[in-house]
Parts: sequence; structure tokens; C-alpha cells
Amino acid sequence: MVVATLFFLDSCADLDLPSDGRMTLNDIFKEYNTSRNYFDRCRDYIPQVGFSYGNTPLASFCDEAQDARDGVSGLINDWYNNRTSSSNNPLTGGTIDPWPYYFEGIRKCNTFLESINNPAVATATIDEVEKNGWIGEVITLRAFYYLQLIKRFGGVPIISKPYSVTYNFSKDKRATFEECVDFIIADCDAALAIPESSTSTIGFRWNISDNERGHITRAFAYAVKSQAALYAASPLWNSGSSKYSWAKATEITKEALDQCLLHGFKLFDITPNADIAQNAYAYYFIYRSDPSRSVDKETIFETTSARTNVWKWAGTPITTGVEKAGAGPSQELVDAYGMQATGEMPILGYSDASHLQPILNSKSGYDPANPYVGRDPRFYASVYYNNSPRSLSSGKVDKDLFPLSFGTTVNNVTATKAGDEVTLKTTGSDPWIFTSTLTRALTAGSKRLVTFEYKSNKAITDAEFFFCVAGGPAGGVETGQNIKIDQASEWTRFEFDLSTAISNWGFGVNANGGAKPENHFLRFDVTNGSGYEITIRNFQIECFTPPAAPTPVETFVGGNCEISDRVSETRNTRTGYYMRKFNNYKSGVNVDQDGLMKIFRLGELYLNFAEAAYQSVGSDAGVASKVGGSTMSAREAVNVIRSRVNMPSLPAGLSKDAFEVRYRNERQVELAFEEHRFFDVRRWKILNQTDGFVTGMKITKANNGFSYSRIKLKDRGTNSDKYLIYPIDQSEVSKMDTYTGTSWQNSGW
Amino acid sequence: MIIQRYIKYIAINIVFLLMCVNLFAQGKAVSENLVVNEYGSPIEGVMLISEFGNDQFVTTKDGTYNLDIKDGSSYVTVSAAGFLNLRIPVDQLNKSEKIILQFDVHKTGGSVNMGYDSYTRESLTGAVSSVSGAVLDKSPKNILSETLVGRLPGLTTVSALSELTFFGYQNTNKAIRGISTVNGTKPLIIIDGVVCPTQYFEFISTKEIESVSVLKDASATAAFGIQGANGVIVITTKRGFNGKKKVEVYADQSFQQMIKKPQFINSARYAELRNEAGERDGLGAFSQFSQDQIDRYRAGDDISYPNNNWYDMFVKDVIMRQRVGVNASGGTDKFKYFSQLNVINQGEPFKIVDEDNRKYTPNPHANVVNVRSNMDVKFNDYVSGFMRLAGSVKREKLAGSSMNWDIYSQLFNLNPTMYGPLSPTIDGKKDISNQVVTVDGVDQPVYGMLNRSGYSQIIETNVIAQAGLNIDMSFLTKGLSVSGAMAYQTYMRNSTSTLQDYTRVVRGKDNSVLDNFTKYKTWTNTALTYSKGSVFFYYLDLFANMEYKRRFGDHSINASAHTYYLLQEKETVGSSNTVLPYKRQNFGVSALYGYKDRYFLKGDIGYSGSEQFHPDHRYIATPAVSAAWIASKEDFFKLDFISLLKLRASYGITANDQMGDARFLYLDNIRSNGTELERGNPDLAAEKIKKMNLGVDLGLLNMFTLGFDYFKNNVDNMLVNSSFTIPEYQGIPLSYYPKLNNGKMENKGFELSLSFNKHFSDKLSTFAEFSFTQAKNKVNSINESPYSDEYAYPYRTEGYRVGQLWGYKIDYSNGNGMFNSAEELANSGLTYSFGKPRVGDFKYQDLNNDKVIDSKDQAPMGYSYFPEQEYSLTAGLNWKRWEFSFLLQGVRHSSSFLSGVGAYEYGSQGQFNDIHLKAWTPERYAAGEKITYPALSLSPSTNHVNNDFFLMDRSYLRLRNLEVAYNLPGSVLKKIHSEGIRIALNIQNLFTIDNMRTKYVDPEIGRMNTFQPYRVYNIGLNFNF
Repeated sequence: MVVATLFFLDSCADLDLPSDGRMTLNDIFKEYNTSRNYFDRCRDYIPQVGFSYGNTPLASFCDEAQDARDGVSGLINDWYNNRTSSSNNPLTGGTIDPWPYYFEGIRKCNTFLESINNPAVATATIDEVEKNGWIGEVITLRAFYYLQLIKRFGGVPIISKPYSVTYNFSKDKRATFEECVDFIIADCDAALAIPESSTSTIGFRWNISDNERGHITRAFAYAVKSQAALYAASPLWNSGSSKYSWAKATEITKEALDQCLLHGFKLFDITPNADIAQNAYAYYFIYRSDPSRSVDKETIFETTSARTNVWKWAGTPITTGVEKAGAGPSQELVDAYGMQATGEMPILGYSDASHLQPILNSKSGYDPANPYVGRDPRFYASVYYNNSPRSLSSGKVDKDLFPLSFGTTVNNVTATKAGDEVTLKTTGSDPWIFTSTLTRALTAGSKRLVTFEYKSNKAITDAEFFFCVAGGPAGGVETGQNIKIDQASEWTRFEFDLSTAISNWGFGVNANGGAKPENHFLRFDVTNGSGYEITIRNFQIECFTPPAAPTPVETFVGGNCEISDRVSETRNTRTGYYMRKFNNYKSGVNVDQDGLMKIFRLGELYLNFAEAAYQSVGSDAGVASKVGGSTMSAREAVNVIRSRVNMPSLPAGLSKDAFEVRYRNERQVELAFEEHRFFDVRRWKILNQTDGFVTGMKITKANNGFSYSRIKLKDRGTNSDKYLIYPIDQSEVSKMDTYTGTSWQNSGW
Repeated sequence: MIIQRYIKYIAINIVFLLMCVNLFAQGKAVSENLVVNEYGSPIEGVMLISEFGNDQFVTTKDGTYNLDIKDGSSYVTVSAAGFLNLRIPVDQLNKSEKIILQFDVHKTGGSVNMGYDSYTRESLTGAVSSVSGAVLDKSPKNILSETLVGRLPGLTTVSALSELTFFGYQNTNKAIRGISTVNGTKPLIIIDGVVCPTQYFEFISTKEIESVSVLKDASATAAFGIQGANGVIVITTKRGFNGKKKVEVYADQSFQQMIKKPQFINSARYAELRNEAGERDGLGAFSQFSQDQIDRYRAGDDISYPNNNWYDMFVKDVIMRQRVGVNASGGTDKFKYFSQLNVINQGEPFKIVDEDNRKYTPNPHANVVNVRSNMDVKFNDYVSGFMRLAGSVKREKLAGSSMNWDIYSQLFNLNPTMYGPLSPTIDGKKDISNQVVTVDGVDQPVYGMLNRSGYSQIIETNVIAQAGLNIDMSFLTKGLSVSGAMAYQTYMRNSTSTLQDYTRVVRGKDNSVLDNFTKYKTWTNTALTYSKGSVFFYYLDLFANMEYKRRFGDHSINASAHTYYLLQEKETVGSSNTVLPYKRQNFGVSALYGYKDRYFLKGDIGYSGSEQFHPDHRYIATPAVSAAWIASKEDFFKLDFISLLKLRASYGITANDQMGDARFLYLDNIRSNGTELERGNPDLAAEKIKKMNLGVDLGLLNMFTLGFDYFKNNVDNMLVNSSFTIPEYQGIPLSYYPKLNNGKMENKGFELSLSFNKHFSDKLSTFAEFSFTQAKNKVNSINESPYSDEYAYPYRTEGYRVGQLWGYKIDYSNGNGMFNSAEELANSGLTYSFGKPRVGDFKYQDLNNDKVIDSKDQAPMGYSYFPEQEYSLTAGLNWKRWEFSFLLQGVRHSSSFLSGVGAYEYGSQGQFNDIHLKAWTPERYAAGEKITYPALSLSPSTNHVNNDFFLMDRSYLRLRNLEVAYNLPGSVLKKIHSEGIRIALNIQNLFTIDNMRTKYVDPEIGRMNTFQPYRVYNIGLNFNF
């Protein structure tokens, strides 16, 4: 036994790792498949934007919204109470902590680029065009990750090769914002310099297929350039000495816009059915983009997997399964939506510090007693307000149709058939005509409509329908009502509800009674004498129960979705509004059809260009294209955005300051909740004016209507200058202090 | 009922075994002699063992023995618990003189099991403490670790869980002599010489334990190599013996009651407190409840205005536990056995409602059966063997799939004004009638968790099987033997879950009606669904051991060499690198040389390998040397009042290879899908903890013993994460960055014990022992990057103890530490970086004088959660047939921050505790009332941060155990043919003295929303046959 044990001991003394699938970088780049896998992982750091800040969007951290969990401990509560420091930043406490996250992405890209470009490592056989396509995507990704970092932290160290684990950090420094933008633009240009391949399935391309969702395209590279240049030219990052002047930004943003337009990008303008969405803008944000752009030609890049789940995380209390009211749109945002009739902004500002006294724009047509009437269509697409219907259609409609045609039994009428149409001409007094029999019983339903489309040479004021039964007397039971059919030269829908008559007299009851229902038919009395000519098509009886009126979202005090300031009531709005953008009203517990947030879309490129252009050459001056596109002015670019939603164009001749007001208003409205406003108020350096607090609308039911009073929510304190830029985590700062002897911290933190 | 069948099976086996034993027991008597104590009374259970260990006998009740020495030994060692060892030359053995054993006043008798070998206590050169199973059995607890508390100086335990039905591997944190590394600090567990997973020894019952030892210094642990650094707990189970067979039957009934019950705040008071909080938040006096509502709550006569005491509704006051068991031991010269069967039934802590139409009972309770059979067989004069089989089967039932502590914690989220637990029957609205009521923000209402979630059944099985052979090599040289053994331990957990979900409803705002319930979130009542899960792993140890033990006149040698190979494999759902087998290998040598039984020199060395390190650094040697001198045995030592003086010293190296759950620290881990995980550091090696121990034992007047040990542990190649030095922007997640080998830490302290032991007569004896341990650690280096100069304390780890607490200091210069008026607040000129302070909030000290209170002002406060000092006093008295003993145990220098339930009032929809009842209000302040809390708030405020108000002192002094026992007189015993009947009353945790700010949180558990420790009253009956 002892000997056996010793022998066993000797033979088992292997403490090496058994094979568990570990590989080295050289192993990875030895094979096409694993090389491609590594390439795929480079895209893993694209953020899943949406409700990623503790189940609320970034909108809740700026003046767009107030989250209803403002009194419950968590990220939101920390932010609203200014409980923010270099070691506790709520903005980095969500699903992404941007500093380590994007630097991990950058390292991944760098490792890929270094390996794939090193013939000693990349020994796999890979098609050259495909490989260059990968490289193009990865370079663009690196630029994108850098853009995410600098818009939050300002300039960061530029790393173009992966550090070894023994790297000496003491020489590292933070590059300037400008240097980072140089690096970003150089990366994008390098990617764009890779020639497009003649093969449509590989290479760095404009067009990808639907099953390549998540891949990086040339449009993406242009969008990164556009945003980077715009940010670099903005007041926060350009104090005057940067090469990224507004003129430079105009050039870059115009090229980006032109290139996308030339390659088939176009604002999404598909008008949906009324029970899907209110307008094209609303539809766009619940539409899942198709990367092939066969339908959605606006989206440049959309989050790949994270639906916003507005219904759940920012839902109304009457939505089944809702978790919380979440991000309630602020009154400031609601005030920003213009008036559709005049195209004017309803509110020009506030005369008091608490934003309770709005300065009304008398030209706008805004009525403070009916504040939600006549607003920009984007308002209705983005916000649930008091008494707005919760859904667009309120249920399934069971409809049964009984097609009818005219028979041959007539009195003083001639009937001429031409295809589906029948033309009746009256030739004497009391003209009438029998219809064909129903052939089956009318189904249950609260409405029984006789409907047809018609053209008529005169108005008929006393038409009648009689119910008849085959074999019964010719007259039957009359409807007892004088029915009016208007004169119409175009096809016009006629409908008449038989329900009242049926409940009064019963359908088809006649002197003999009791005949089979399938033998029922109607007699149509035109009854006005001769000279009437009416052409009818699609003649039918519709039996259905109409849907109940959609439940309104009642945000007034005591309503079903009432406003509340109690910290424990997290399913009630704090502002009097609920979020609607991205929300498909059909979404619920079992079906999630809410939209996904866009990372880049054409609309932003129009606005980026407009901003750079009005700053550099004024709002009306056309900027010529250098790449074969059309000349466009800032105002025209904004008007393209406005015309999609049927908003009147901005007038020409506005001063720069006046245009700036309209432009910023337009950007706030168009890009609401899309993670732009948070950064815009920072780069414009207007944070201290916009983000001290938000207001809401407390609505109480008065005698015959509502009375509206604005309320100010708690001061947040997150609008001081240090909040213009994120803090770098304290432990990182301490480490770099030790290595370099200089502080890497942003000012104020 | 599998369990019952199992019990029956085991019982039959035991009966069969007993019958066999009777056959064996008819050995031939060679001679009969007597062992007696100083008063001439016979001693039962005295072990007589030959020098080479092959011949032994245990005395019977009347003190007689019967021993024939055949192995050529020259002397016999006579030893018994409580007596000094005696060595008798063989030729003097069988004279019909009485052997008289001396009382062991200074605890120098007997021997101590050191894991692979045992040494006489007299020859100990290092630091070891031990306790017998009989003492542990005084504590009526389900978990072995809990019975160790206060019994083993140097071993500190902190219970983090008091739940009763989860016994098996309850969450008890243990450390021997404090904390010496920032990495793994769990002691190694050795059961009968076999390395055991640290958690899976808790099922062993106190009845089957002979002794538990704690090995503390390098001389005792160096031979364990990379696993020895955190000390070793050695558990030795009972063995059979050559002597008259013994059968013990016992039964216990325990009544368990939590020592703390939360204060009930009634609805009216709750509503007032919420209003008070709202008022302090600036929302007006009646922002949450109107006066009319409060009056109705107070009147309590309207079911629309409930006043629900959820705690009383769901938690039982007294829980029952039963334990019954039987064990038998004995044997002959050739065959020895110990068999044991132990059954515990632990009742449920919750009240379950008998719902109509429910086809199952969800009562969360548990029972466990454990068995042991230890057998030693002597095949011939040279070959002997052993087989030990032990295990447990635990059956546990859970309500739904929730652990009981999760259910318990949810109790605190329900406020007394909530209607419920079920909604009323509402005509025409079946879907909201009789559904579980909850409130906004509470997803798990207790009623539903307990009654409408289904149930889970968990079967946990532990099996330890050990078998080995020992060959006496005396044909080569006397005293040499070799042995080989194999040990296998498995743990298996099978769970079946039969679960359902249930509808939650919330009540509308209007309190005047009772039909305004709406469904809450997405849950609905569902049918039961069934699922299974399992976890399995095994430990396989292979051992070879060589031993040489011999005396040559004044010289004695005791040497052993052992090697073992350890393999642990896990099998569980899914696959990750945690299921790769864990392997370790160790080779150890210990040698003790003694001269004249007063000079001792010991050398130890371990040589062990760990999979964590690159082959070049994989193996590590861990040597230690130690020596002891019993000065009082010297001839020149003439001081009569000093009856013992022993000096001890040891120095050596121990090692540790554990770093969280990380594996293969030297290897990169890139997967074929392109993901990159850990990056390895091929230069890493095991951390070496150098340990020094100096000790003295002083016996005075044959009555008092003073023991003092000073120890110092140092590590300067501590495995540390790179996260302290490496910036994140390099792009490798810091948790994946290669670790480094250059941390430095020290841990030093002392152990002091003072005992008194006196036999006044044969019928009256008494003992008392006080012990005190202190272990203070300090992290000297983990490559920490200091914060900037603006920080009041730029270092947060280096220079402080592991787990040092940091928080804001309250400025008490105005008396109460709060802003008592708007002027005071304005005049302070302070802004807080974590919210805006209100009147009535804490005023913090601006340590860096920048007028901003932020993390730069944080200061070290209190200690860490793990106590730096522990003390105990155990004393007892035996008088005639009565036995009385108690154990007082306490810790000092332990603290944590109280947070959440019981501390913060805003949680859920308001959670109030005693401290909140007299919170700051202008009225109370003006009236000069005692203020126990800053201004209440409805949501997190600037008060709710770690500060010295919430710093809780976790010191306590507990009467851990009290026992009164009575042994029935012989006249009674004869009638029922019993050898002894003992009736005992044990009380556990009778009282606790602490410094907690709130009365409702136990200092050891440290949280309110978990089970508090139990006070246990136990009546036990023992029959011996």
C-alpha cells in the first residue's frame, strides 16, 4: 500500500494546467477564424446606450428630465444631491464606467492592429481586401472610443500601441483635446483612405447587409469626424487657439453630410398608419433600423442590442408591468417645442430665477390655458402630457363584413353596373332598389353600419333604408330616419349606423316574421324624385364593436397618472409628463417593441453642419460642397429637419444671435433624450444656466377644465463649472501623480 | 422518506456491530491492576500505551486495566484527561500496586495532535491550544465552528449568520492570531490527518470529536507548506480502544429564541415619524399623512387603517430543536471501533399560514443525520490498518427558493400602515381579491415569499472515507514505522425546486376604501414548475508517512516525514476554469529531540508545490526551528512556590498560495473567441510569512498557571494586486492585470492566560481560566499611490490595519454635533460635496480646512470588522454529583459602520428604529431634550454616510455558555442497568453586554435585517451503558 501510494504520488505530481482552451496571441492570429473572432471583439466596446445609468437615460442627468426615483438612494439621488466626487461619480456608476471601458476597447484595437500588421504574428491566410476592411473598421473604432473619452474627460493620453505589462508610465501625459481630435480625425481619414473594394461583401464599405449589424461603415467614420470637429470648435474646448475653428468644423461637417447624402442617406420620412405612430418622426424612433438601409436610410449606427424599455423604466402607472415612472420630461423641454402653425417658439425664457414665470412669445399663438394644443409634432411623439391618449389604438376591433350588391327589383330607378361600381339614376317619385341578400346572419356587435363610397350629383336629404325578408312584403320595416347623402364629385365614404333602428324595431322583422336571417336584404329608398344620379362602390354592412376610447394619461392631481412629490411614489411623474420617445405603446410585459437609441444618424449631421456653418459664415450663406454635393446654408440644413415634421421653415435674415437661439432650440427638440443635450449644454458652456434644477407642471382639475401651475423641483447643484467635465477617478489620479508628479485631475474636482 | 430509511439502516448496522464486538471482547486476561488518583479513587478511561504503540488498554469504570506487552517496548505511558502523564517501565507494570496519577494542574499532561503526528504536551516547543470534544458538547449548536468560540485561545471567530436551519456551512469567519496577509486568511482544516475543505467540516458533531487543536506558530505549521500560513485547526475524532465497551445514548431538547427582537413602531407613530422627516425636508408638517389619518391609525378600530406588526405575524418566538444519538466504542487487542449516529431536527423560524388549496407545505426547516464508524485492526504484530467512514445527510426545505435570511430581511421593508398580508375579497374583481399586498418599491412581500412561492428541497451529503495501513518496521530498527493512507471526501448538493410565482397588489392612495388595489408590476399567480440543480466535488488525498519514535535513556527522538498529494475536483452547473481540478503537493519533515524530558529541540520543514506558480517558482521550502526548556525540572531550581517554568521559542517560515479565487496566476488566459481574461506573471511565488513565537509557562503553588506568548508575523513578498499601482488607462482591467509579489505586512501580538486549578477533595474541585489574545496587523506596503496633499490622510491602506474603516468625523464642538439653527449652518461656511446639509444635520470636521466636506476629509476611525482582542473566562466547579461551568467570552477593538435598516430611516418607505424616535427637531432642541439622531429625512441626506455616529463598536462580552449537570447516583443506575445517567441544563448566550448605539442590533452580527444570535435553553439526557 505504501509503495503503491508513493508510486501514485510520483505519477500524479503534475501541477501543470490541464488543457482548458487557453491560447496565446500567436495562436489566435494563426487561424482565420480566431483572427476574425479577435476582430469581432474589438467592437464589443461600442456602448449600448439607452437606460444605462441605473435604468434611467442620461436625459435624467441634465435638463431634459427628472427621474422619479429622485428620493431613493442610488445614482440619481446622488446626482440630484450633488453627491458627486472624484471617487463617487454617478455618471460612471451605470453599465459603463467610461474611463476603463473605452481604454480597454482602445487596447483591444491596438492589440489587433499590432498583431494583424505583424507578419511574424499574423500567419493566417486572410484575403487582403477583407483584412484591410477589418483594419478600416478597427481604426475607426479606436477613433470612436477616443471620441467617447474626450467628450467626457477632455484630453486623454494617446496610445497607439498596446502597453506591455512592464510599461513605465512616468513619461505619459494627457494630450490636449485638440491633439486627441487630430488623432481621431487622422484615424478616420486613414480608414477612409482604404479604397472601397469591388466586392460588396468585404472591405471597408458604405453598404453592409442586414446580417452585418454592428459593423462599422464609412458613414460611421464620417459621423465620428463630424462630431469630433464640432466638439473641438465649441467654446468649452476651443478658447481661440485651436486649429479647429468653426470654419474648419464647417468644412469637416459639410463633407460628412455631403458624403452621406451622396451615398443614399436620407431622413426617415415614412408616414406610419395612425395606429402605429403619430408621424414619421415618432415612427423612426420605434423602428428597428436595417443596416442595409433598404427602409431606414437615416440611421448611421444604432445600439445593437439594448432596447430602451421606456414602457418599463419610464412608464405611466397605467401601463401594466411598469417598474417606475423614471425620466419625466421637464417643463423646460416641453417649453422648447414650437408652435406648428407659426413655427415660433412659445416660450422665450423665464423672467424669474425659478423658471416659474415664462416669457411668452406673443407671435407664437401659444395659449397657456391650453398649452398642449398646436405644438410641434415632435412634442406629441416624445412626451405623454395630461389627457394625451395612452395608446394610439385601444384594442382589437372585431369586424364582420357583409358585401352587398344591388338586385334587379327596382322602382323608378335605373341601375348601371360598370366593374365594381353601380350608378343609380332616379326616374320618378319614391325611387327604390333592393339589395342582394346577406346570405348569413348578422353577427353580434354594437354597431351595424351600412357603408359605401359614392359620387352624387345632388345632395339627398331624406334617403331611407328598409329591412326586408325574401318572401315577405316588399316594404319591410323602415329605418324611420331621413338620411342625408351629400353631393360629392370625388369618392366619398358614406356610413349609416342601423343600430338604433334595429334596437327600435328589430332587424328584418316583418309581418310574417321568423324568416331565416340569411334571407334578409335591404331596400334603399332614394326618395327625392327624379334627376338624382349616384354612383356607389364597396357597398357593405359592417358589424363591429368599436374600441373604447383610449385611456388618457391623467397627470393632473388625482388623475390616473397623477404628478407626485412623495419620495415613495416612484411610479408617478415628478414633472407632470412621461417619456414617450422610443416608446411603442404596444410594448408591455410580453412584447417589447420599444426603439433602440441611435448612436449616429443623418439628422445629427445636418445639425452639426448647421451649427458650424452659422458660426463661421452666418445662417443664410450657402456652403459649397467639395465632394460633389449641393450648396447648403445653415438655415436650409435646419429647415430640412423641420420640414420632415411639417414645421414651418425658419425665416431668413436672422441675426447670428437670433439664429443661435433657434438653432439650439431645434437641436434640443430634435435630439431630445438621445444623449446629446447633456454634452451640448456643456460644450456651449451654458450648464450653469440650464442645469440647476428643472421645473414641472402641476395641473389641477378646475370647474370645466384644468388649471396649470409651474413647480420648481429641488436644486440639484450639479451645474457648477466643475461639472462641465467628468472627474477622473481619484485612484487613477493618485497613481499618475506618483508616476509623473503632475495632477491629471480636471479642474474643480 | 430517504432519511428515515437511512437511519434505520445505520441503526441495524450499529446493533450488528455491537454484537460482533461482544464476540471479540472475550480476550484472555493477563493481570488486573488499578489506576487511582491522589485520593485513591479509581480513574476510568486511563490509556495505557506501550512505547511503540502496539499494545494499549483503557481502564474501566472501576479503574482496572489488563495489558500484555508484546511489542518489545521498554516502558508504558499512562495518561488520562486531567492527569499528568506517567511513564512506567514494563517490568514494574504488572505488580499489583496501584498506579497513582497526579492531577494535571498546569496542563502539561496528555498529548496534542499536530495533524500528522502527536506530541506530548510537555514536549511542545511552539504555540498550540486544544480542547476536548466533551467541552465542546456543552454548546447546543448545530455548527461545529460555533462550539469553538472562546474555547481555543488564538482562534477568533466572527459569526456573520445566525440562521439555524442552514447549518452545514454557516458563514463563520475564522482566523488564527488575526490577519497576516491581505490574501486568503482561512486556516487549514485537518481532520484525522486529512486536509479538508475549510467549510465542509461543520457537520461533524461534538459527540464524535476527541479533541480540537489550533496550531499557531511556525514550528507547528511549517510542515504544512503553502497551506500552513494561516494556522491549522486539527480535529481528531474518537477511536475505539482495548477495554470494556461503552455505549452512550443521548437526547436533547433545545428551545431557541433570538436575543434581539426589533422594536415595533406602530402605524400612528410611523406616520408621525414620516411626517417629521417630511417636515425636516421642508415639505410641511403633514406632507405624508394627515392628522385625521394619524388619528385613525391610532384609534385602530378601522380595518382600512391597519396597524400591522409584520415581525410578530411571521417570526416564531421560540424554535424547537431536538438531537438524539447513540455511540458505541470499545474493542480488543486486535480490533477497535467507535461508531456514532447523531440526528438533529431543527424547527422552522417562521410561521406559515395554512392556505386552502395549497398542495404543499413550504415550512422551511432542516434535519441532519450524521454517522461515523472508526475502525482499527491489527492484522499481525507488524501490520495494522484503519478505516474511518463518516458523513452526513442533511435535508433542508426552503420556502420558495429564498434562503431564510432573505425572507427575514424583507420583513423590514414592510411598514405597519400597509394593508395585508392579503387583499380583501372584492366583489367582481377576482384578480385582485386575496392577493399578496405590497407597497411601491417592495418586490418581495414576506407573505408571498413564505406562502405562495412553492418550495425547494435540498439534500446535502458529505462523506469522508479514510483508509490506511501501518507497518511496524521494528525489524529494521525499533520505533520505525511507515504508513500509507488514502482519504476521499465528497460534498454533494442536490436541490429540487418546485416553485411558483404570485400576484402582488398595491393599494391606492385613498385610505377610506378597501377596493382600490391594483396589480403591482408584472407578476401573476402561476402553476408550480419543477427544476433541479446539483453541485458536486471531491477531495482526494494520498498520504505516505514515516515515523521514528524512540527513547534512549535520557534521549528521546520523535521524527516523522510525510508527503501528501491533494486533488480537488468540482463539478457544477456550467463550466468555467473554476471546475478545473485543484492540485497541491506537499512533503514535510518534523523531528523532535528531547533530553531528560526538559530540553527540547524541534526542526520542521515543508516542501510544497502549487499550481498557481510557474514551474520555476512552483515549489517552496518552509523551514522552522524551535526549542523549549523546562527550567523547573532542573536540579538547581529550588523555588518551591514555582511549580512549573517552561520557556519556548520558535522561528520559521510558512507559506500561502491563495489569492481570492484566481487560478494559475502565472498564465495568460486568451480564449478562442477573442476575449482576453487574466494576464499572468511568471515570476510570482508563494508568499512567505515569517513567524516568531516566544513563550513562557509559569506554574505557581501547584494551583495557578500563567502563560504568555509573544508572536510576530512578517511577510515581505505578499501577493498584491496591481490595482494599487497600475493605472486603468493602459487598457487591461485591473482585476486581470498580473499580480505582484512585493507587498509587506506585519502582524504581532500576544496571548496571555491565567488559570487556577484545584482539587480540594475527592468530591470538590474547581478550575478557572482567563485568556486574552491580541493580534494587531499593519499593512506596510501594497504599492499604494498616495492621494494628493489636499487629503487629510493621503494613504488609505499603507500604515493601517487590513480593513481599516474610514469616515467623516463629526464636529462635536457645539455639544451635539448637529447644525442647531440656520445661522449656525450659514456661519459654518461649509459646503458638502455629497448633498446640502439641512438644519439638524451633522456638522463634519473640515480636516483639510478648505471649507468643503468631501472625501479629502475622511479620517481613519475605529478598527476593522475583525476583532483585535479577544478574551474569555471559563470556570467550573465539580461537587459530588453536581457539575457547574460557564464560559464568558468577549472581543474588543472591532468596529464597522452601521448602515441600512436600523440605521438609515429613509429605506424602503421608512424604516425606524429606537434611535430615530428622538431625532433632532427644533422643538426637541429648544426644550433641551436628549437627541439621539440628526434630523430625519425621507431620502438619503448628508447624514447617511460613514461617520463616527454610525461607527459601531462591536465589542461585546457574552455569557456564551452555562451548564449545570447532575449525575444520578448508583442506586438509581443499578435499577436500569446503566453505568451512568447525566442530566444537564445548558444555556447559550444568556446575556450580552455591548456598546451598541441601538439596542436592536447584535454587535457580533452587526446588522439588523438578519437573524440575530439565538439564546438557547437546552435540556440534555445522557445514558451510559
